[in-house]
Amino acid sequence: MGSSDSKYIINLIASAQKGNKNSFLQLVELNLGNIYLLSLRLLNDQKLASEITKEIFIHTWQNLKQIRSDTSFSSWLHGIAIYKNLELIKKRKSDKSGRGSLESSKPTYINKKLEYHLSELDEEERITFVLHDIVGYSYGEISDLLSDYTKESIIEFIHSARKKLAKEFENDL
Amino acid sequence: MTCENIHDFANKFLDKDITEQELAELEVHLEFCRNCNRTFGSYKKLSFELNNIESVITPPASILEQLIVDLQSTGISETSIDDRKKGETEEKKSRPVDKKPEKKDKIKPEELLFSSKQEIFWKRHKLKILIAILAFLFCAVATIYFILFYSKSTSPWQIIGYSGKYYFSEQKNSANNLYLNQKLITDVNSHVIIAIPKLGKINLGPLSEIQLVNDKENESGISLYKGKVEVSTFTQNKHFSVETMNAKFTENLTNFSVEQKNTGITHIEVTSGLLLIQSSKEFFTLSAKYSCDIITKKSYNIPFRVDGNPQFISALKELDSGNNTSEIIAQIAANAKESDAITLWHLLKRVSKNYRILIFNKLNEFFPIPQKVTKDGIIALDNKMLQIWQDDIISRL
Repeated sequence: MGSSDSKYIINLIASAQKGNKNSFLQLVELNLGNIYLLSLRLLNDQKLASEITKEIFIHTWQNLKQIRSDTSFSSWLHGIAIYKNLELIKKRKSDKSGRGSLESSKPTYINKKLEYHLSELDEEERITFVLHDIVGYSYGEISDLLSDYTKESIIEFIHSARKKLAKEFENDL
Repeated sequence: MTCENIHDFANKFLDKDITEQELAELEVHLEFCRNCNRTFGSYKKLSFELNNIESVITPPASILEQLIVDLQSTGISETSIDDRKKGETEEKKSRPVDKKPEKKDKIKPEELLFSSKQEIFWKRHKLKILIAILAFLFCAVATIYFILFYSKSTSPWQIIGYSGKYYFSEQKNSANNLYLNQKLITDVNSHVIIAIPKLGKINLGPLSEIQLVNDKENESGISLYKGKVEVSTFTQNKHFSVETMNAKFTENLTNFSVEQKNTGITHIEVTSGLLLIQSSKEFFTLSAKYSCDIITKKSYNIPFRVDGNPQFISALKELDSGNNTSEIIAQIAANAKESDAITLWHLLKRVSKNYRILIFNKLNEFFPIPQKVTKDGIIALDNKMLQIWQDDIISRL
């Protein structure tokens, strides 16, 4: 169990590992809003974000015993979440014949300016920006995850994303 | 540095990867270049926004609901329960005494599902439920307050002044207090003044007998068996009534007197305010300066103003005694003034149809019939219309 988790979380994990669903559901409730928001930002699709969030927690439940002792529960969960999300994005890319077929369930209720412009970015820019500037992954970690791209192109995506977003805030100054 | 690499500098700044040398260069450049200053400012703004970005959003409730269902149907629980049982037996071997934690773990999957669904229901309808509870509490408190306030007993009533002698039907604790259901009797030439708590006072005349029959704060009352009471009140929200063998008189911020004569007639006089008279047959309202004799439970003389024209009053008395000739009616109609409206209204019901038109015209002159009331209706003595007209007259008197 995670070194940085509180005793409460550690007890919940221990109890959930023994099969107590109630404890696991408490862990779910504590992290649901966070994981859902992360998925929403990565996928830019409400329906898919709901589905993947559910899948992430089922995967977590099935693999609870594999939790490592050197990471916190939340970063372990984030790892699963990002892995699952990227897997889905890859699948979506290869499935999609024409762009924009899934745009229908784009999140509409995020009213903050940053979230809105984030959703307007190109997919590569959005994903890399979310992973680096919001989740806090390093360029190297991201290039490990996105094996299709070189570290340089990832940096380029992020810089391009920043440039576009910063441009949107220029008028607010 | 040049304007071209402002973005590179900004990215280095955001990545906290900028050297002191570069930072100094940047600062110098920004002082001179407005455009780059603006661009760099927008990056700083983005960085600020990122620092304040939310990390949690309220997810759709369906996720948790479906997750609970899926966890149930995946069958993971069984294997896990088996695992748990294994764990339990191992634990039993090592720690046979400590059983408490095991008990805690023994929650059936159905129970888990149930409680979670309840929780979801609670979360979804929290606000509605809370509002419902608050509304219910409010109603309950209001009802209790209402009951306490309006059913509050005000007795015993205190005797605040007297002359001569007075007696109680039964002696209670104090000679100065009138208790519920107790009778108070005055002697010849004696007076008693009784305070009605929070409402006013009663002045009881000689050779009188009253009983306190209702001591509730909002609708207190006495019975007058004989003699005379004068009532004066100072509040509008509570009502006090005097009941005699013939009728019940309910005040509304009214000063009035009631006299129960030995002949059986009840004589009332209103000094100010409005007085509601209820007999077994009907009810009507009198305004200030009016007086009326209630003969029996079913009959009363026509009320009139005590300060009215003496000829008018004597004609009314003639009419009450059965003399309803055309001369008398004509005399009444000729002498009637606007302030005699209530008298005229009562006359409508006393005279025959032929004369009724005359009285109607006279009253209509002073107080034109309101909407919903017709001349034909009044001539035909339509009770509803009569009532509407009376209310209208009283409200305007």
